[in-house]
Amino acid sequence: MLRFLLSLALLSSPLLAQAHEVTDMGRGFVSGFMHPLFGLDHVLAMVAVGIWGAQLGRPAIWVLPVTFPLIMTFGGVLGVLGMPFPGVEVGIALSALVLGVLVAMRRRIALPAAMVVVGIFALCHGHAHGAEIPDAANPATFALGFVLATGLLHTAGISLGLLDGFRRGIQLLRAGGGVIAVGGLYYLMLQVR
Amino acid sequence: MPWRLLPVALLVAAGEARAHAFSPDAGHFYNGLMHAFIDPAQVLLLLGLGLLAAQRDLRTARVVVIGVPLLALFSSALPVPASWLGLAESLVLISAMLVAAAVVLARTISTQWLPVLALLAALGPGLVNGAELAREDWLIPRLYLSGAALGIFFLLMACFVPLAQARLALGEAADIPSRVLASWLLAGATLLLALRVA
Repeated sequence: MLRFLLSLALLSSPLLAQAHEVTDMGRGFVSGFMHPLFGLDHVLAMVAVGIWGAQLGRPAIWVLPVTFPLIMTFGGVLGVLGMPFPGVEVGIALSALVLGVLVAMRRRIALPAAMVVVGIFALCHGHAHGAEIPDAANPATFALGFVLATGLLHTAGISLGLLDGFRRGIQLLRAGGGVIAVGGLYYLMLQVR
Repeated sequence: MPWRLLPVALLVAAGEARAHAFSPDAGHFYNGLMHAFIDPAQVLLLLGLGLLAAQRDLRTARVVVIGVPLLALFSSALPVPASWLGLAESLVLISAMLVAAAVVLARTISTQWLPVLALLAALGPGLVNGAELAREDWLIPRLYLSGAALGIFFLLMACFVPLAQARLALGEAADIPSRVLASWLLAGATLLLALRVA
């Protein structure tokens, strides 16, 4: 009871000190952080990158999650500068489909080729996020938010991908890849229709 | 029961936020201290420098942890006009990109040049603080700058200490999270620079 009352008191106590709330930093960061998380197509593709990297083993397990944000940045810059990128939404849907298929097939390809595949899709994701930046409450923290969320989704994918060391885990990941591919196909159909 | 409710009553009571104002000048110091934490460009640079220090040899670590806050402090004393603030912030972002790229590339870059890179990178925050002082002329420079140097040191250490410990425990395997984190910093700094240009 006391705990409840204490919590209530803390919640109802006045918060007058709003120091360091410099031009909506918090709101910009939160909206940037949530941007990749609110789009299921983004989530599926990011997690798939992490899983695929883990399936490919070292050094792909970290090279792919490093490649993705770096190339994504170029896409983001194009978006910030307002440069058109035709078919960006199709590219995002396609990323979930292709990466899902690669995970489901546990397809091993050469690292440079894997980097190219991931890089092409990273451009599409980056442009979609970057185009939103100028309208954000605080563009700078919005950018940092979406980079962080993307990285954390990759980390989640890598963590799941560590199941690849177990027989049942391999099956589970391949099934997960199938689900991701189906999700990608659904979004692709929405875009093409 | 009534006594147990006393903390609740105290917490509910509305009090004006005058927290930590033990001295009227404390705000100047606190302003400087928080500057490194609320400026996204400086956060990216200092986290990158922390990663660099943890990833490389003892000499680089020493230069970064001790040299960077000191050089930032001294370069803040340069007579920088307020109109240079934008330029100084761009310099911080470019430095953040270079430092993060050095961490991503890891051992493909010679350790020899890294202390130089770290010290050049320290000029950026120093110039930003100098320009900030020129713009906000009500601030007391010695309090603001000592706070700023301490903030820079805290942020560096916050990144350096856990990663240096991880490196001691895991060896070169600890490079993997460092390089991944550095790629996020590089991406963030590039986007912020693009926003500045756009």
